[in-house]
Amino acid sequence: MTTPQHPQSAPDAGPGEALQRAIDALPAERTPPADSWAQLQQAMLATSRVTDAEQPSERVRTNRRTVRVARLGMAALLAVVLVTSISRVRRSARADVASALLPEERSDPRVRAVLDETRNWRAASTDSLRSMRWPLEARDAIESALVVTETALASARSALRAHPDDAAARDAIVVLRAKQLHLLQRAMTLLDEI
Amino acid sequence: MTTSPSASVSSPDDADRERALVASAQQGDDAAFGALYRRHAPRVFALLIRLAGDDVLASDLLQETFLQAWRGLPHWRGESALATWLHRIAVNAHLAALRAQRRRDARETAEEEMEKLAGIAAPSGEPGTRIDLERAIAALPPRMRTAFVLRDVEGYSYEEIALITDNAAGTIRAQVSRARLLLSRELER
Repeated sequence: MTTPQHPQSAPDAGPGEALQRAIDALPAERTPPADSWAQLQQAMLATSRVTDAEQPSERVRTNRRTVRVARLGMAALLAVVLVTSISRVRRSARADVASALLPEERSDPRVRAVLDETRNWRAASTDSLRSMRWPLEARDAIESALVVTETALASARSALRAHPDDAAARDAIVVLRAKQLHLLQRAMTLLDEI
Repeated sequence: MTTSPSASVSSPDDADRERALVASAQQGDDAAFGALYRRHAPRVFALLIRLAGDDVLASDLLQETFLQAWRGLPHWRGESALATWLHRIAVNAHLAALRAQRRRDARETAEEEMEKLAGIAAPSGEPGTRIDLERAIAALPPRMRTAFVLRDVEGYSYEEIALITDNAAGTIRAQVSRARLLLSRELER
């Protein structure tokens, strides 16, 4: 009776004659793409050499990430400030009416763009592959800003339903939608860069 | 083709020339670094294509490898051949990409990867040709491919592979053994 050998202790039989022949025929070199050196030079120009020995590339990455998170935070903060400044239309805000569009909004291409971008955001933030590296705090800041803008939009709509000639509420909707679109586009661009 | 990474330097004169290029590049001479790139990139690229199983990804990893080398070169003491150092950076870049990929593809099972392997058999051509083997290597599951390439193509020991991939040597042996079996079958088709 023979004792089965554990893979770790078994002698290495090698790849076998035919496979070894094929391995030996593999080329030792492959020509990189023609523009690879030019691309590397661009990357070198965009990257500073770090002179201290302490985790250089990690430090550079961390710094970049911090800057991006800060920029995201600022974008979210801007949205919140904008919404807060339109306090007149916020008083009776209710988040649960956020999806109730006015008839004129339904045919407005700007509104459709925002809705498309919001759907993209929802899809991206639940896509584990895409959002894997997004900082949680940045994602939360964007979500908060969206809730605030949607709430303010709902209030503006409510005001318009009660007073169809309320020009300020109508303007507020336009401004809020534009800001929301900018926020979403900017947020996803920055987050995808991380 | 189990060869030493340092095969890029073929003579004492060549070694002197490389030392001079390294010294210049360490002082910030990007033209010297470019010469080192042209000298070593084809070999590193061949390694990365086999490890990554994908030319486009290999091209990205090549850039990452040389960018890291450029950053680290001022501190490099030349304790190994430059080719060996570059080789190690390339392998680490590949492993980092593999770890990121593994997180993304957590749902992809080994069985699915095996099906992929079965489906990518060369449609025609002479058995045992280089293109058959390259395609078959590219179709291996990533960890198995890494273990096989490092062991049978690049000549690393099981213990070295275990160390740099953070796996048990027994696991690496099993992966290499399985890869050999699968690749041999592919070549016999």
